[in-house]
Parts: sequence; structure tokens; C-alpha cells
Amino acid sequence: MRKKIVLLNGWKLCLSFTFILLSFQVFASSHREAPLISNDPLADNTDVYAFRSPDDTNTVTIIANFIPFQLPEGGPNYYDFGKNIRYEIHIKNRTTTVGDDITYRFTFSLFNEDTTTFFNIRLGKENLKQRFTLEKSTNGGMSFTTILTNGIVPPYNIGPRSIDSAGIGLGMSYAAIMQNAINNNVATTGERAYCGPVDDPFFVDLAGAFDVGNFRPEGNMTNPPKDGLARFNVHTIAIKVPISMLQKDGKNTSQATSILDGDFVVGIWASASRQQIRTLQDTSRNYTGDWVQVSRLGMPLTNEVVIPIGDKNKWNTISSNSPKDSLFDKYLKNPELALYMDDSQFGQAVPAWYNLRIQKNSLGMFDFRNGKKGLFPLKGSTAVQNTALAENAFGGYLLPDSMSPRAVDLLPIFKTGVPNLRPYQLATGKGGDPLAAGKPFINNFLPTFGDMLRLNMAVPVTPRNDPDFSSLGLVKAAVLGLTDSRFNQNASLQFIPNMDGFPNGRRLEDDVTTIEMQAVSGVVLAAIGLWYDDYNGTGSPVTPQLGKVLSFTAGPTKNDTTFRASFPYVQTPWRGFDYTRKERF
Amino acid sequence: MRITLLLLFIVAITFIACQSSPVVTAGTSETETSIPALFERQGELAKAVEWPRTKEKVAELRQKIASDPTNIKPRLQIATIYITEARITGEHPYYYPAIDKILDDVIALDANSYEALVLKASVKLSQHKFKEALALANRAKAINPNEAYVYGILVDANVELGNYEEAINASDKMQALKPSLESYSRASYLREIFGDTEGAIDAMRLASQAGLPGSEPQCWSMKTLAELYVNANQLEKAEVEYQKILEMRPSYAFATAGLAKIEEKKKNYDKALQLLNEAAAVMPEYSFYEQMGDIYVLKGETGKAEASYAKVKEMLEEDAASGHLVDLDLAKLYVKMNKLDLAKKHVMNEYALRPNNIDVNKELAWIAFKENDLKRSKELIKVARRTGSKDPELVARAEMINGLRS
Repeated sequence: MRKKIVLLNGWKLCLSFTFILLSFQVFASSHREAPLISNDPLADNTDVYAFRSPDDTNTVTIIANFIPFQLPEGGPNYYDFGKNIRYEIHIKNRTTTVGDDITYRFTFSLFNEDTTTFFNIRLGKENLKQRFTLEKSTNGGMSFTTILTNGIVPPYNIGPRSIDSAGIGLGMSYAAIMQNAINNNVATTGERAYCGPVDDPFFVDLAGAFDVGNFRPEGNMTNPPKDGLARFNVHTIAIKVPISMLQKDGKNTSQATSILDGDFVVGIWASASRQQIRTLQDTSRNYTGDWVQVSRLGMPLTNEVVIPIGDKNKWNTISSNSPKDSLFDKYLKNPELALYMDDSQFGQAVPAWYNLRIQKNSLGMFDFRNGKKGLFPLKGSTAVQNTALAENAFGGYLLPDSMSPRAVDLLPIFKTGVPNLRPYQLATGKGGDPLAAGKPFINNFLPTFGDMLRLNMAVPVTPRNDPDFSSLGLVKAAVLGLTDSRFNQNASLQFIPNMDGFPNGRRLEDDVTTIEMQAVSGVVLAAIGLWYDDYNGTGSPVTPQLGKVLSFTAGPTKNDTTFRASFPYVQTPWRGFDYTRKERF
Repeated sequence: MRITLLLLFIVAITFIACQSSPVVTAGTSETETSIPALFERQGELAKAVEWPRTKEKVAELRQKIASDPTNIKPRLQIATIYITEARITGEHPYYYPAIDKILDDVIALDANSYEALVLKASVKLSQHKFKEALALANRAKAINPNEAYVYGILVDANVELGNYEEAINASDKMQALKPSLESYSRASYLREIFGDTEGAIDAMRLASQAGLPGSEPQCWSMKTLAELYVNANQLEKAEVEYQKILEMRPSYAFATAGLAKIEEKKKNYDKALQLLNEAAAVMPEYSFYEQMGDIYVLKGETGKAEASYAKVKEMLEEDAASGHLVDLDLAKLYVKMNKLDLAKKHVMNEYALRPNNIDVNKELAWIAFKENDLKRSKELIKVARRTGSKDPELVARAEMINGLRS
């Protein structure tokens, strides 16, 4: 029998295998065997981050990452940004406009200076160069102005002879090359940019996650958690923007009315687009077709765990700040993941999630499991008057019907941001009534719908060396506000450490997988006083059930390497030459 | 974090495959699940690092099916793994019926399973069962018209059936949903069919630039781009593409065979044969042997040509045994072997299935011409040329049939 032999040996080839599996013969078609699926890593937006720069707090750093799973030793062709792709960062800061208020567009070129050599770098010269142009639009994408040309993209971190060695290589440390690029990449309008390879800062137990949530929590000594992105590189587009440039009226944070001033909220998302071509063209032979968005990202994990497979192409083509994004709200109102935290559904199917249950009888009356009523019985009642749940406020959105229990918490977290309004305040000071006024702890409400990462830029920065700094972001802020005597004595507005963490923006350190799993399990409901079922109305509301949720981790809780202290904060890329000296786990 | 879920599923399996762990023998619980077992790999393939974990993964999925026979997800996962195994091992006669059964079971459980329908349609395309593929894809499209994948199947099936307008419509829809290597390459193919060589080159260049450097899909599109250059007689550009592929993937046999084509065009027949032998040592692809046969004909070494063609015949018949419809390929081969009766028999099988396909008409026209049925030949070649394709072989044959070339 005829064999088609593909030999696979070793780790490196295993990654090749990833792509081989997706290659043309797997889903072979006819005649020419064109690929039916090959994915598009060059346009694959893997993560978006936005945070006040810890060492330059008058600025916000926005990071959008692309091209996942880069093997540092992947020569001879290392990774580069795609030439025919529009990489964009979109910012919304107004509710009165349609579409983007600010758009940064990055386009890349790639050229060989010396085609006679096999090496990307030799004799002190970088032969294969990537450069970029940065354009900016402030009129909804109607027109763009070039604010940086010939932006430098550092070469891949091939090895010490290519990078560090004088004479044969570039004669500089990679960090110096990176800094040179940053020093060069200053826009005429003042922003700084870094585009190039870096360590992938995200951390997640991928193998566990996709084995139906079979996470290996921290502390598991026999099967320790594994960061599936450890020691992989990614391509980053990072930009540092003065807050006054992002704030809708040009204000800086010293002009904010409070640390939760709603006028300082921005919504941020990123995308990659490719140009559509007509199958049969006219005589012009120019690619003048529309640019079609093929990848987008706002809130982390939306695409993976919220949007079903069948809707992913469509989801990717829709702008995050488009009204059409509401087509996908249904997946937030009753998230699939919640089925595995519900013993009346598939709650026993995923042992790693046993600590995550959902309130089914909070305060003796409210059931937040999929398809249940949640807070809907309160709709239109006097109890919700003067709260965000009132009909004349946002009640129609937050309490839409009797079968959408998570419209009250997950929907605003993902789609509007959370306002500093009743009931979205900490239970501290509420006296047991979740609808009462409590201690403010978040206001990243931007009442324009869309899957965007919302950041209130007025919230102070938690120094990374602060003992209270936590990768649990806003969940940690809530815990401190509920339990720490420095913060739980009254309902006054205070800066609580980590109020600048996810889901108020997203810091590189934030453990978004754990936070989102906790959120699906109802931790935000608990924080505002809709306690877990084992709270009997007296004593500490931090009951065993809430304690279990708070102690849950989805595996690795921090990146496999450090972050840099200054822009772009992501770490230098792993070096190919040394790469195999240490195992990934 | 946004990564295509399918990719992550595959990545997860790959990661599992890349970790060492005890080997678990699969296939012991067939009666529990009614899922056909994995086919045991032999020789070098059995030593591949992913094989033990593949077996373990399949065993785990079978267990899930045994505990919940109504769960279609593990069934779809096994089907996906079996498709991959079929490709890696070449054990199509075992795997295609197995995959068919698994997917039929899924469809019986859920008639609206988009995933099962498109997977089954993809397999049918591989088997050149285009009508079945088209019907399945249309069912899938009715369930979910928002995924680009299904339009790729519709393009391919319609092209093969000669429904070119429908293919163009599906291709345009695919572009609108997701410009990508997959959609650019289909636009390229249709442009080529409609005689727009330069446009086809532009689109395939875009396709290759949309692939991850060094990935097999990118190599495939670069290889196809090189073939377009060869057909346009731009041999230097073609050679650059082939060499770039081989820098990234030295074992990419189709690129080596492409270089052989260039050497053949330059009449460096021995060099071409050497390259083809290198390619065939990597992958026993029938077209390599067919190309060898053609070169032996050019060299006047009839015996060796016959031996090569005999090898091709053997390989095509193996493919046919595994469920592939290979009549057109056999017909072309029999023409070369000057066995017109057999050629006609096979091409008529294809003609009965897809009378509008230009390649089928081209071959039938050529056979008619060789049989001195000039009237029929002219009718058929007219059909074959109706899209304006500039396929050099088609153009040359048409000129001969129409008396424009001797």
C-alpha cells in the first residue's frame, strides 16, 4: 500500500506538526488541493493590553500582540509582520460619535538590502529589514495622517553572534537594539511606538484549558500548572500615548474630578484586516477591494470561550464598537462556561472547576444559573429606582428578560463597562442591601456598546512593587475593599490597590483567565452583596463558597519571565541560539 | 487572547503529542463505542513522537463516547484525528470508510451538525466525489452561511463540476468573509481558468504572503505560484520561488519536482530525472513518476517511460481502491500510453459525472482527435475553451484540432 510519509521528530517539528495538521492535505480539496484552512497567524491578534504606564503615569500604554507560538529558533525564516495587512488600534472616548474616535494604523514593509546572502544579519549589517508607517485618524477613519515613517522594527533575536558580537553581528545587546528602535519611533504628534518581537507575556494552561477546562491549579505538585505560552515569542505593537491625547477633551489626570471620573474612560480594541479581491477582475488589476477585518480583540478570551466556533468568522469581521456586536450578547447573558459550574447541568464534568459554583439562591431568592431569572423579579420595582437597574436608566439592557441572568454582571463587564452607580458598588457600607449605595470601586462605564477593553485613566497606578499589587486585578481590589480594615471601614471613595487592574484595562501581570473564570462563577455578584448560597445573613460574607472561588486559580498565575520596568514593558524576545538549553517546563 | 479555536484544539493535541507519557494501546474498546479503531502505524511512522499520544488521545475520546454515546464532540475530534492519520499514513482504504461511518453517526445524532457536514464534504472532495461534496456543502451553508470554510468547498466542487459561475460567486463570498491564503488561492485558480494569468499570479502571490513563513500552506501557495510562472514561461521567477521553499523546507518534494520541470523545459533531462528521483524518495507521489515518464519519452527511452507509466497506473489504481475517483488521471495516463480505448472509457466515466468541466472536455476532445473524429473533437474543444483558459496544453491542442498547428 502506498504511504505518504511524514516523519516528525523532536519538539521543533511538533510545532511544525501544528501547521501540517492544518495544511492542505488534511482538508484536501480537489484538483490543486488548495488549503481549506490554514489559519492566518500573521493577522492573528492574540492579546490586547491597556494600562497607565507605571513609570510614566501621564501616559497610557496600549499593546496589541500578533503571530502566536513563535519558536525563537525558527530559522531560516524568522517571523515578520505581514506586508499586506492593516494592523490597527482603535480607541473610543465619546458616546456621541459612531465608530472610532482615534485609530492608529500600522503598515509594514519588508525588504532585503543584500539578496546575495543567506543570513539576515552579517558583517554588522541587517540585510533583511522591516520598517513601518504609523498613521492616525481622529475622524472615524475617514482620513489618516502619517505621523511616523520608517519606524524601526528590530531584527529577530537570532543569537549572540548575530546580535551582540561586534564585527560579525550588530554589536549591541538586544535591549539596546530595542531601545534604539523606541528612541527612533517617536511620532510627530508625540506618541512612542515599539513594534517587534518580544516574549509572549500571556500565561495560560493551554493544554488544560482545551482539555475541557482541565486546569492544573497552582500548588498541584504532582501535575504542576504549565504555561502553554512559556518561552514562545510573539510580535507586539506597543504604543505609549499621553493621557491628554486619549481623553476626549484633552484633559490630563490632574483635571479629573475624582479617581473614578467617568470622563476619563476609553474603550480600546485592536484588529487586523486584509484586502478583499474580486475573483474575476477588470482590466485595472489593482487591489481596490474593501479591507476586511479578519481578526479583532477587545476583552480577553471573548473569542475563545464566549463566541461559538460557527460564529467566529462573522464575529471577526464586525467592528468591536459596531451595533452589530450586540448579535453576540446572548453568549454573555448565558455563558457556556457557566454550564460546567452548575450541578443541575454539567457541573460534575470538570473536576478542576469544583470550587467554582454559581449562586442559585443568593439572599434566599436570586438564581443566576443559565436560563434562570437572576435579578429579573426586581425589574420595574421601586427597589431598583435610582439604580442602574431602573427602567429609565439601563434596566432594559441589564434586566432584559426572565432568562438572561448574567445580563446584570457579565454583559456590562464585557460590553459597556461598569458604572459607579448602585448596585455596582462594593457591599461595604450597604448594610446587607445589595441595591444600596456602597463603596465605589470601579467606573469604566462607557455607554456605547462593544467588546472593548475599557480603562478609566483617572484611576491611579498601583506600583508594581507595592505589597498589595496582585495579578487578580479588580477582584483583589474588591477583596481588599470588603475585608481589609484599611478600606472596609466606610463607604467612602478610596483608592484601593489594583483598581487599575483587569477588567479596568488590562495590565501585563493580570491573570485574566482566573479573573474571568471567577467572574463567570459570580464573584462580581458576591462583591456587590449578592452572596453565595452559604451566607446566612450574619457574620462574615466571605463564606467557604466565596473563599473557594477566590482561591481558585486557572493554573499559572504569572508570566514565565519578568517584565521590563519601562516602555514597552514586555520582555525582550527569547533568543534562538540559547533556546534549547532549557526545557519549556 | 484570541486564537482560532480549531487551531488551539490542534495545538492542544500537538502539545499533548509532544509530551512524553506512557503508551496506551487504542482500539481495545471498539465494541463499546462502535467507533472504528486507529490503524496501527508501522515502521518509521510508528516511531514518530506524536504517535503514542495520538493513541492515548483517541482512547480517551472513545472512553468519553462510551460514557455518553450521544456526545458528538469527541466523535468529531476522532474524525479529525483520523483525517490526519489518513494523510500521514496513506491508509486511505481503511480510514475513509471509518471517517464516513463516524461522521454519518454524528449526522444521525444531529442532522444539523455543521462541523460533521463540512468535514464529510472535505473528505468527499479528497475522493473527487464532487457532487456529494457539493450537496453536503450546500447543506452546511444552509446551517451556517457565515463561515468562509464552506465557501472553499463550494468553489472547489463547482469548479470540478464545471459550474464556473457558481464557483465565482462562492469565491467572491469567501473573499468578503475572510481574505486569506485560502480565498486568494481560489481567486487565483479561477482567474487562471478564465485566462487571466497575470491576475492569477497576483492573487497567488498575495496568498503566499498570507501564509506563515515556512508553513506548509505557504509552501503550497509558493509552489503553485511557481507553476503559474512556469506556464507563463517565466522560468527564472519560478526557480526563485522553488528555491525559497527549499530553503525553508528542504524536504518539500513538490518544490524539487518543480525544479525538475524547469530543467525539463531547458532540456536538461538527466538533471530533471535526478531531481524527480530525489522528490520521489521523499514522497511517492504519482505525478512525479508521470513526469519521469514524460521525460523518458522526450529522451526516446521508451522502455523506461513505459515502466514509469506503469508505476503511475499502479498508484492510481491504489488510490481508486481507497475510494478516490481517478478516472480523469487514468485517462490522461492511457493517452500517454497510447491506449485510447481505455482512456476513452475512463474519461467517459468522468464526462458522465461532470460534462461541463473544461479539463474533462479537453481530454475527451484530444482522444476524439486522435481517433480522427474531427467534428466531435472541435465541438468538445470549444466547450473546453469557453472560459478562455490559457493552459498551454489546452491552447496547443486546440490549435492542432482546429488545424492552426501541425
